[in-house]
Amino acid sequence: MQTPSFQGTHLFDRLCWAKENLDGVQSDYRVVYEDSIDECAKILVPDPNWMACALQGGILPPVQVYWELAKDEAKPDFKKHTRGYLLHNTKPVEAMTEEQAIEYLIMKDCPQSVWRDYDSGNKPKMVICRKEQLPATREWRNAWKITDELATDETVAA
Amino acid sequence: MAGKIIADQIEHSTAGSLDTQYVVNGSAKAWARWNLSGTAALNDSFNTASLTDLGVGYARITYSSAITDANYGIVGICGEVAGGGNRVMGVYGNGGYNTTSSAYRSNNSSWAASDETYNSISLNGDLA
Repeated sequence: MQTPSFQGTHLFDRLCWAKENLDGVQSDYRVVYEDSIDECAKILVPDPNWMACALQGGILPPVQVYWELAKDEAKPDFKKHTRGYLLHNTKPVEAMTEEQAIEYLIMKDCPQSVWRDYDSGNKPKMVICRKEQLPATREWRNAWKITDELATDETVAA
Repeated sequence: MAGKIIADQIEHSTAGSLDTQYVVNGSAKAWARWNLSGTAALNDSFNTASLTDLGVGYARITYSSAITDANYGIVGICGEVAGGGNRVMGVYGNGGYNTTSSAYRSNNSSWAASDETYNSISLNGDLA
């Protein structure tokens, strides 16, 4: 199905179109990350409807738009967004692969302190894996950490 | 978009009329239902980009179309799809609460954070 030309259309309206016309896509990818030494590993799960939008293309704004809005919100005198038009007027991103969509989602929804230098410490702060690589049960969930010795065919958190 | 109707008011034949701003302002701007039991998963949603499993009972939902400020309202419930009862969900401020995300804690009947099979929220507010 061809995506209508959405540049200038409110993002909410585009999501309404997507909900009506696209089937959700349950991704098997998960992002495991640690942003605090005192807290357990966190696990990012893509939304199926969002993933459908990402794979379709022409719906979601560039991820940099969210960074701009976050900058505005971080200002001490922030009351409400005045640059929401960036979400709606910036040219939407083209269709992504599932892997590209995960990268976009990391840059949107994970702390920048995690993904900007995720692999520069003694061990990775972030790992992209398949859900089968997560522990099968939630036993000791609040103690889960990224495993020190990573291999692509093994469990990534325990 | 095709099929757009622009109207400030809608009128029923006998029941009276209603300003469409009531419809716009009173409609949920995002909703989500997720399962935090087993492998965390989003069951269905609207205007939601991701779920982050923060630990036992804790989850953060992020939004695609941002809300204009963080003064939006949330209605949330949690429980067990089969059995269970006396569950309560609350906002978890330490997990983030801003115009593109909000975090929640699901409690069991002992007020301990717990992984529930049914968690859902509906967000009302103004879009950016």
